[in-house]
Amino acid sequence: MNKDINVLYQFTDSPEGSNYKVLQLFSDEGPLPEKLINSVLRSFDEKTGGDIQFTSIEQLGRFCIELLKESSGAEAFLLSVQDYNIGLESCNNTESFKELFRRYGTSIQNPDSNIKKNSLLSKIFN
Amino acid sequence: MQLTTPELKKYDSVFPGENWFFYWKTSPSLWESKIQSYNDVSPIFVPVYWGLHNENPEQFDFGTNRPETDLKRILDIAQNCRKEIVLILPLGPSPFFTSGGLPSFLAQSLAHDSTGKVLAVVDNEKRINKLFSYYDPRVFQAFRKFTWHLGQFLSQNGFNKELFGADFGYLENNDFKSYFEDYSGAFLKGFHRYLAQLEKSEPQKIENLISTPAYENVLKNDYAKLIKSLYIDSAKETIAANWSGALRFCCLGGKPNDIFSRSHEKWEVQGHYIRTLFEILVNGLLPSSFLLPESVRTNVLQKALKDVVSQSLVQAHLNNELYDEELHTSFQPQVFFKVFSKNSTMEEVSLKYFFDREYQWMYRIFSQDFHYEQDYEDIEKVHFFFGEKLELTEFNQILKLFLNGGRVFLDKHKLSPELSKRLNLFLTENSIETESINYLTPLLKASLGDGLLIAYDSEKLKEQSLVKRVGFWETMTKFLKLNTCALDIDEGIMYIWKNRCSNTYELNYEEIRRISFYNPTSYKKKATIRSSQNYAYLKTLDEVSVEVRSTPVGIDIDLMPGASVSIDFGYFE
Repeated sequence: MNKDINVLYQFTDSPEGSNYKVLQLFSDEGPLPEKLINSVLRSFDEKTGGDIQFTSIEQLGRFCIELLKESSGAEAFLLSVQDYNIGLESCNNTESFKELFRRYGTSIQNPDSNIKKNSLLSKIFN
Repeated sequence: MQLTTPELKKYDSVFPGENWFFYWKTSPSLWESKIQSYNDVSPIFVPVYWGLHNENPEQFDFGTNRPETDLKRILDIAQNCRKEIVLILPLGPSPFFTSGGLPSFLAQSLAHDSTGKVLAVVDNEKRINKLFSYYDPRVFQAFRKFTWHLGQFLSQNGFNKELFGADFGYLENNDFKSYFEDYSGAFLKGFHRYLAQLEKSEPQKIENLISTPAYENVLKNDYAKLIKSLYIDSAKETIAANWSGALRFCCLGGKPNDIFSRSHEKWEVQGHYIRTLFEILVNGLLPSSFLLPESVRTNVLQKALKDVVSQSLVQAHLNNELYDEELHTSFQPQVFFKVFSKNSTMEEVSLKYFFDREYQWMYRIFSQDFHYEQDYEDIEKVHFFFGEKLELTEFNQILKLFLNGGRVFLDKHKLSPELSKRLNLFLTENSIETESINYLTPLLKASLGDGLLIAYDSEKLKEQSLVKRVGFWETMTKFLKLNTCALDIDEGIMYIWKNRCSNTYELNYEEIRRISFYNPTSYKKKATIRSSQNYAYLKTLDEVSVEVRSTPVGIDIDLMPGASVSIDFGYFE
């Protein structure tokens, strides 16, 4: 089962500051469970007002890493609306759409899966 | 009148749902056999594919050059087969056409939703159709030219049948959202031109905008309505002989964010579509399933679509008459309540919550003004109105409804002082019997023959807990003697009530009521209809994977995954 997470965000810049608002948060199985999202959000100070939004891309990236750790996903793909629109130009059907985040998104690895992989490899080769 | 629902047909993408015929999806040589085989639907909707008939700016082909554009052939076939055809002219982006239907030479400004994402929809063949903005002035000019040529073609070929304009859209938060609505660069450019014009013609509006930036949304709405009306007026003018009005089609699976779920098989859930289908019905819109692929159209969804999108519902939308002689004899979705709401008060006083719990899908929400006509067919339904934004004209219509025996709930919160006075004067001058009590809110009950008017204050209700608000509505509706059957149903089971007039063999009953159950889940589920003294069991029909048992409590139904069943009752008071 593919547990990779796809994140679509909208970036806005205003005199009040930058804002990264999550528009879609899903895996192949469907939208991420609210319970999972809320448990991760608790550790963030951002005042969301009901939406999932951050003031920096680093915070958004950290949020994705925490989600990956909680859900044991291997990788997250972060895609802005601008890049989504660019990628969509080359999508004619749902098969190509499924690859949109992987092809055009920024990849974030789950650091825990790398550690586990390394320890497994070290067990085999040592 | 049919005793059972017709057999479900094998899926054919040329007939993607309900009454639609997608002529461009098959060879012209097959049109006749296809149309001949299209039974049990009337009329057949034929959407005019602008991009097909107008491939070059100066070339308009309705069969002169390419056989696949031969609209006359379709019309002749329909006539020979004695099938009723209605031409549908899209007045904005259509989700089932490539590029939303625009000719390729015009498909330049992509439409965007409010988050900036390109508006794209998945069609029934899993293709992604990107929609283009109709706010581009070149699009309007070309549309006007195209409709003029279409009008000429229809007139020269003696086509005197109806043509309807179509506004395609989707349901979001109980609101119809048209694909015409977009937030693209083309829209913004046009909006700025509009502001420049307003500066000269209505400078006050620009001053309001400067002092209240939020007023921009009001002006954007005004601009959007203006442009939309240009398209409608243009079509009305150029195809005047055939023009029969504009219709709104609400597309299942057509929300912009549905592209995510519909691209992942595990995510696409049938139960979701059945729920959306019923929500579309509640909002008085015409559902269309032409975007849904064969893989999703399993028996239970197909059955629900057949049950809900009946030919009588289609006819009602075309004719704008809810009931006529023929329609009275066929099943219609059962509706007890009509709610005329222009704000969110219905949700805030838990009226919607109450309806969804006790009278699921038995209500209709209208955003337009109420108008009372002689021989108003829905006099027996309970009407809800809200004082905020209520104007004198509509208020007088409400009083007329009450005088003629209608049952009315009126929220007095933010009712203007003028209308409040008018109500008091009306009650006094007509010597109408009134009662005032205090039950969570000051209540005024007025009765005149069959007419009932209950005025309350929603602001007081909002202060109460959910339990008390629901209790309030339970008490209020007890007055109304709606006599429904109590149900115990497992989560995930969908159901809908329908009713029709009794025929000459059923004179013991006031009407016949039918409940249809659907199990779109992957689990076995149970439903129980508790016995009611007003309901006499008549028959069970259209059973698919169910077991129905009579018990001392009522009727127990075991539904396997994908099951559906309908049960008819004779209803008497």
